[in-house]
Amino acid sequence: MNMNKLSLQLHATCDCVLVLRSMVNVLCARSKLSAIEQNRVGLAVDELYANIVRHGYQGQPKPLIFEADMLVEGHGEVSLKFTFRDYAPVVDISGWDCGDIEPCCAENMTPGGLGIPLIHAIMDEVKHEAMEDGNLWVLLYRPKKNEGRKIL
Amino acid sequence: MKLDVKVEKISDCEAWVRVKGDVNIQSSPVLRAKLKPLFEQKKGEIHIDLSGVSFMDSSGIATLVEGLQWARNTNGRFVLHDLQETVNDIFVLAKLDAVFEMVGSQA
Repeated sequence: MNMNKLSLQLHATCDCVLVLRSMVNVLCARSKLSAIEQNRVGLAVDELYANIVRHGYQGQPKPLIFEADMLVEGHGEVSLKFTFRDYAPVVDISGWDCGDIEPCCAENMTPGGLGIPLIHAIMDEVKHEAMEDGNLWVLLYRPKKNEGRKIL
Repeated sequence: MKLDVKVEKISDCEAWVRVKGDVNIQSSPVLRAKLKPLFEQKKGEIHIDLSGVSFMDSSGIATLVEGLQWARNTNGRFVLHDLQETVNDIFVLAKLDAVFEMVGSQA
């Protein structure tokens, strides 16, 4: 059994975001991430989950599989992988803003639209695969200071 | 963590809002519901005490952006106070730290 992999099947609703957050926190703590990194990783997972609940499922509780996995490489360096499998209509991500977040000013600020850019700003890899009956999302995070974070 | 939002009206044109808890997809509607009546004010100042908030996602930020728009439209002030380091980090990451008026952040 892989002790560094946590998985969950749920009917996705807003209140379940706390469950996902707990799973993320467990792996972040095992990975010895700083409070800032842990908060960022938790935010990225939170944002993708919120996107699926709001836009994919339109607020209806529908099945979702979430996996959080701590990968340990040859030199003891770790990375965190988060996988979401939803059964929402296939998402066309071609129009998504995946570049750097541009500085903005008060005059052109609008509420919303920040979730996806934040995910891309935090995660090292964001992958989407269209499935026959939904979407597969993979987020990969490599801790920024791997020194001294070897797993025994 | 349950979100607790307390509104303190100092005068007709000044209010303090003290927020405690995580602001996320589940709880941000609570914050928005408390702030919305304040955005009916035609002028003045709204101060948001965020010292009790350690996590805020984009739905929370979007609510605060509405406050920013209110301030712009009314020539008012919308001030964020005492952001914790983790929340301040997200504002920096989103490049919003220069957009909002912030006082006493723990960065």
